[in-house]
Amino acid sequence: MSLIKLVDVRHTYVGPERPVEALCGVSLEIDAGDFVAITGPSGSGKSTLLSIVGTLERATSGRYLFDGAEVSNLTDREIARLRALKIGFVFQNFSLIDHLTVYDNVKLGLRYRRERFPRSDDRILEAMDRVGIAHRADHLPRELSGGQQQRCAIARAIVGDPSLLLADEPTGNLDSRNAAQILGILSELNASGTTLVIVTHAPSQADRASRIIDMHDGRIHMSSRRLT
Amino acid sequence: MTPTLAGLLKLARLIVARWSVYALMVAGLTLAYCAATIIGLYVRNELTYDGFIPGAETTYLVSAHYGPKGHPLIASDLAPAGVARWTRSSMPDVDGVTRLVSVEWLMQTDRRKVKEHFYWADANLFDIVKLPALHGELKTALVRPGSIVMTARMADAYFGRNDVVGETLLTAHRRQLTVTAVLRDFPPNTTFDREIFVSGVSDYSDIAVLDDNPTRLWPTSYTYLRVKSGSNPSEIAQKLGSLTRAQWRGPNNIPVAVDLIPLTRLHFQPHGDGQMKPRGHLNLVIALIIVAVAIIALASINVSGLILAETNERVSEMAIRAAVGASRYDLIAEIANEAFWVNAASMALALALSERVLPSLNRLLDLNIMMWTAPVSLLGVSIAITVMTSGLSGLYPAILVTRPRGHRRGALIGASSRWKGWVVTQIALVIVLLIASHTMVRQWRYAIGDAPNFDGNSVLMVKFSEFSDANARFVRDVRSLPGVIAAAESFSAPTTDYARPGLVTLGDGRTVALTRNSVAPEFFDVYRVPIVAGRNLIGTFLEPDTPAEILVNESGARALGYASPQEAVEKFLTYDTDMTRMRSKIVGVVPDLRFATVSDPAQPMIFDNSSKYFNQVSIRLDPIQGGEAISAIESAWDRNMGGSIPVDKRLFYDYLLQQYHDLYQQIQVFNLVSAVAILLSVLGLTGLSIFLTRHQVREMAIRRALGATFGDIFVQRLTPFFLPLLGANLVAWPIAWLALEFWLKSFASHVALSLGSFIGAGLISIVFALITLALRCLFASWDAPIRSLRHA
Repeated sequence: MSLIKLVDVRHTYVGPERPVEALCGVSLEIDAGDFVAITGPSGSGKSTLLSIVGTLERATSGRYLFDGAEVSNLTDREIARLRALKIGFVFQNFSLIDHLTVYDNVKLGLRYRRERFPRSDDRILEAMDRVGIAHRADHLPRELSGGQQQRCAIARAIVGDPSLLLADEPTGNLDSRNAAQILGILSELNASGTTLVIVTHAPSQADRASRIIDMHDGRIHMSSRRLT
Repeated sequence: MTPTLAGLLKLARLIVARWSVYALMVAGLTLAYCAATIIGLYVRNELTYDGFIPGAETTYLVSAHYGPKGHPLIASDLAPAGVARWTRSSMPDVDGVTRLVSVEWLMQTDRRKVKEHFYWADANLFDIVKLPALHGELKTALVRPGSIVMTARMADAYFGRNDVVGETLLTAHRRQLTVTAVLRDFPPNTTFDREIFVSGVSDYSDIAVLDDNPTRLWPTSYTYLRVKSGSNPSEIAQKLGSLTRAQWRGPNNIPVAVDLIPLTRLHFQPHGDGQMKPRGHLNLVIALIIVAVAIIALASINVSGLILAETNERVSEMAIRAAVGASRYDLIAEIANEAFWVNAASMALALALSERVLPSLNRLLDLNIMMWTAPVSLLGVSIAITVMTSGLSGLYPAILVTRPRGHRRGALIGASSRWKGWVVTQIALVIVLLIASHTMVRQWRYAIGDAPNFDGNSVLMVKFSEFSDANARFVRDVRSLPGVIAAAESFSAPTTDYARPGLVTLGDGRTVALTRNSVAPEFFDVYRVPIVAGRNLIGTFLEPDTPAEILVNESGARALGYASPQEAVEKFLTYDTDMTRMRSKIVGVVPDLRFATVSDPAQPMIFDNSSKYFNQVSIRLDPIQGGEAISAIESAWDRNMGGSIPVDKRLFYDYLLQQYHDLYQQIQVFNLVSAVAILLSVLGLTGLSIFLTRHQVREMAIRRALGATFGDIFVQRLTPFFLPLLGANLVAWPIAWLALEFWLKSFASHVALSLGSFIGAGLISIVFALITLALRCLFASWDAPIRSLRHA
């Protein structure tokens, strides 16, 4: 069964002069364990698609099923719970909270699950270890390099062991060496079973994905699965 | 939620998002400027009492100080009539001295017939107190007997116009008075409580009677004098004191000292016996000035924070301007310019609002504050304040936001903490004001409720005419009217219009002063006062002067050295009045009654039943039939007085309210100021919330992405305010405690500070703050633009 299923999803933003259709009837399915790269020019709707898949925004119309459950029928509270339990995010700008240490930023990934984790400290340390940032646990984000900040963001995203990891241009603010390392980490996570969806401009990164979705003008222009 | 409601909410959110910051700025500043303008006008009104009289600062009221040995001196605005005579004959340093004596007489014209309150005045009054004239020659206006001078307002009341020189009116006994001059209307901030002056040269005037009877030395006259240039008023006051003591002929009540008070300072003198109008409170004026400055400062700081929030939003705009060649100075000027126009618009709105609000405020506070009596100074001060607050509110954010990028972030974090501190200060101010308001209300309720220690509700006081037989018939008739429960004559009691002391010298040489009251025995039934020991007086007597039997109150019994009220009964008391020594038997003891206000200590009292000076009757009405009973009393009055004398009546409760009018004004002022402070703190909190919302929009978006619910964000936003709100209480409580202890000590009798006031004010402020923040969160938090995570 698909982890993600979108059927004729449309999304319209209120523009300054007229409504802007960001997604125009997108339908797609993503299986558990997939590594999907969404590509396309600026304004093609790829980030909007990622936001809807990540339940950060609700589609204006159409159906969205996550793990078989109809997302559009869920309340805000249930959607927040779904995000807390099942979805991890990695953003281009890292999106760390400036006044929290690396450790506390990662810990934030568990906070809203409202579950008592036995040995939560161990989980946080393990997440930081997996991305190679444990040695900077007590540092504030501004004391870290771009690559380290993104590792911290990834650790936060995976600490709750989500079934879906969404990354919006995760290497966009990094140099090529750090970009390669981050992509390596994400690939390893996918290899260990996490479904991974990334938005990227870089063809080299898209090539690592098992499936590429190319978007133009709010529509899926082309969807291709790489043969292994 | 229906679709329509959802749409409206969305629209409201859009409007708030688009205009909230500027609307908040203008609303807060307008409110603050309006409050400050009205406070400023009130303060100016208080500080310029009698300023309309040319030379008022060098015109002095002679204040006499009395007191038995070992007792605090009692200041009186009234001096014996002889002081003016002695001054004229023996004080070359004094340029001139004049007197006023208050009186109420019937006055009538075709248009108006009323028991009028006016002054007998010495002929030279207007040489000393230079009241401005509208018609006639003031220099000679009071020289001839039967001449009368009045204000334009009174002329209009009696004649329907103000050019009335030569017109006549009639007084009691069909005496004719001729108008010789008309004065300009007095402004409300004058110490004079009457607007009619009748020549004291007339042989039937009280002034003439006092001059003809030089042994009548009790304080009767308001005495004003001017000193010759180069003379020292303090030295003159000393000489006048010595002169008075040297001239004194009675054994008691010798004025211990004499003080000269400039007219312009009289309003802020401590309470004086016989004062014409309630005194002002300099402490209140100072407190209001502090509050006004605090309100403007806090509003400016709020605006400063809001400008900071707004301009911080426009960092990229600033960067573009800099890129196209704007210097930092240009950018600062740009922001300061915006701040100026926000302030200027707010000031214009505030002046318009003040003009609209003042009439209602005047009605509420029984004031007569005018807005445009000095337009140039009002506008000048307004412009100066606008410029100053523009600088205060605009420059700080301008400098902060235009700092180089590397320094800006830390500075903004610092600004947020400072702003939070100021909001805490505002809330602390609100708490102080709320505690103050509640304590004032409690003191007022105590003053008009428990303090008198007798039941004056449903009691009507009617002043007697000068015809004693008619008065007696009237009282007899009143007692038989339906709706009248009881009636009792008295000499002024339970008012303090004519306080008479009785001095007792104790065995150890100490002197005890008791206030003498003459009442009919029914007085205690009318005011529902129990006799705590012994019995009540029996009947009344007209002659001789010495009462055979008296009552004392409990503090009187204590002051006389009796261990219990019972012990005082059947004892004889020897006491001195102005001129006579009396010996009477104490037949009973009553509880401590308070006829004076709570500003003065409760007096030990003597009650006798001499009817010689009875000047009013107190009538207890049946509360259900009260209205009909009052109509019947008026008819009985007209019947007995031949319809020629208007009835002079008032409910005791109204009298009591009038006694505490100044306290009532203070309460209303503090209530209004508290309301303004609450609104300002709400605006301040909203502004801070907006600032933090904008500052933390990314953080909230991150938390949302990680699964935080609306409730999580809501709690996240409110939590940082809990400790500061508790901190505000910690700051406010001791300040309020100290200030109110100081204020309460200005009363001889007062309530104790209540912990309930403190807890209540704290809770109200916290609830207000949390509601404000919660509403702001409802509008802002869930809309935290999660898309900001993509590009921030």
